[in-house]
Amino acid sequence: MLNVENIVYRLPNFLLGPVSLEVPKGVCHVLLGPSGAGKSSLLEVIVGFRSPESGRVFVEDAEVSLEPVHRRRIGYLPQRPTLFPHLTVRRNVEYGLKDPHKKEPWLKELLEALQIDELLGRRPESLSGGEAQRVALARAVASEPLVLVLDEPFGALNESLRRELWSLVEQLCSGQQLPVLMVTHDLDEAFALGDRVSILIDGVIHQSGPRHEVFQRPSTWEVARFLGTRNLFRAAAAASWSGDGVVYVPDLATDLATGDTGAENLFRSSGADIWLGVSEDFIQLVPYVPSRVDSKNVLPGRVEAVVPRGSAWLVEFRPRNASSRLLVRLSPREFASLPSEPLAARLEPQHLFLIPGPRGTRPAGRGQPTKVAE
Amino acid sequence: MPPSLRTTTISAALLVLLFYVGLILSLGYFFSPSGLTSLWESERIRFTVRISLAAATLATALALVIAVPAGYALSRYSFRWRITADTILELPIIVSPAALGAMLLIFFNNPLGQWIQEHFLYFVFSFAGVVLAQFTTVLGLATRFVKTALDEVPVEFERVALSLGADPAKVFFTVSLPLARRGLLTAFVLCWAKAVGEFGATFTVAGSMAMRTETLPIAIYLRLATAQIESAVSLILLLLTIGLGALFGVRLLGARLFYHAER
Repeated sequence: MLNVENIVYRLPNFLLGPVSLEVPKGVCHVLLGPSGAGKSSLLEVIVGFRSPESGRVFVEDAEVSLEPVHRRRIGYLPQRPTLFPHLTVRRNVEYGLKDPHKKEPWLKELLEALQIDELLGRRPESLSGGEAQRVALARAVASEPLVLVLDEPFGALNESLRRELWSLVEQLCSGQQLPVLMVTHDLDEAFALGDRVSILIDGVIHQSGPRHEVFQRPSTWEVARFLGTRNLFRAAAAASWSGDGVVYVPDLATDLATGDTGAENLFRSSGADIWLGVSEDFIQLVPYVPSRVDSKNVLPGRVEAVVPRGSAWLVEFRPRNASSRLLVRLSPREFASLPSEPLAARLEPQHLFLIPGPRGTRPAGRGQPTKVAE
Repeated sequence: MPPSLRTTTISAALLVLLFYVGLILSLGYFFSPSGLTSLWESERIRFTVRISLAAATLATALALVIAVPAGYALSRYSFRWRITADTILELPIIVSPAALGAMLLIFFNNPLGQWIQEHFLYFVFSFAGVVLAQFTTVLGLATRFVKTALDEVPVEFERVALSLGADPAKVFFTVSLPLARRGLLTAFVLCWAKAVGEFGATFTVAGSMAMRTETLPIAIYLRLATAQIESAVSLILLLLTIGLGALFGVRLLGARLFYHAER
């Protein structure tokens, strides 16, 4: 298990922390954040390349904060494979072995699992990017670390190679019961690998939790923006406020039920600067039936634009009387079966989240349109 | 149309070659084959060649023994006096060799220098003085070359090696030095060539005693001073052959060694 307690690391123009993390055995914890957030610096503090101003690092319950790098038993995989160019693949893999002459059965299994048993006689410069990174991974694991730390190791590889390596990391993590801490700025990678995800922005962890929770319910405006949530609107306490999470959204000119029973506290603690967010994936476009009784969270409107987004379609939908548009992502199949107008956007309360606004913004007044955060 | 960058730069490179080859060819005006053969018959000249090669090899080896760890420290660590230490490496370039020799002579006339000579080793007007003079001339250069060679080894390799459980000494010997080997070989060859051709400091510290401290550059100077031009030309050609031959030889050997090591 890896435990990081209140790490603070200071550079002339940057402050990292205090950061605390816990990575149990067999868990892949992804540290996600934009470039310059301090992710790699944090890893380097954990591995021991940098000395923190304060804070402690524990490996298997033993404090290693004052131990030199080579005694911490933290395997490290940097962004580039960094294979020693003067050694063969075999000698690279054997570099960290306690006794390279001893034939360890587990090493053979590891080499087979990572599909590098055929590469052992080759020189690093003759390997492809994917092969080199597999060898680097094998080398890191062969040194029998108690924790594996990966610093955006697959960033330079193409999509199919990355997916292949993701599954290898998953196998290592669960098969060898290694705690794995991985840094990335890639949302797909974080979602694919992270049993748990922490979002690091400007040196501070904004949110930490299981991946679905983090991706579906960001807890701060900054996290929501970083995760690509573009449906963010200022919210105000609804006229029918009764503490059941119903808010008024000026930009959409409607009340919306969020099901957030803690909303009242949020309004109180955040000085009424509250934003409502919803993922593009959790908005449904349905036929609009005016006489329908159940019209809660159903917003009639029209499609204004449709743009391709990768293998999906992004629909720009403007609710009636709204100053802003909702962005709705549809799969090709959903797009093909899109009903004809009149349409309505249906927002399920459990998919709406309320978060404190960004620092330095003013609260919204009822009925006053605010700027869309697009 | 103005000449292209390629044409201009290649012309400059050929001009350098022509300049030095021209100087070498001009030796032919005073060259006599009999003067060259008579060199080998002279016991004094054979001694001169031996002492030149031995002193240069010893001085360069000693310099590298200090330069390798010193260059590593200057390349990798931040410490008090680092900038000053880094700057003083250029001392042998800034101060003329004769002045360096004079500084050594003055040192050996101080109480500490005298004590060293009385209780440890006598340097002035001795073979040890030749080695010391050449060592003083090449130490700064060797450290500079080693530092540059190590600067070119990405720190990331060392970091990965440390994370694999290797202690800093193992990382130094199994990662840093092997990865800097080309630069280190270049450092050795250039420092050795510089030591073989060293004149000013050697002459000042060790003098020009035949069969004792007379190196090839000193022998050339002595021939010129006594107007033995043909003999001086033969010695210059000998120095050129030894120096350039060693440079080519070591580079070829190095290339072959590295080729085999890397394939």
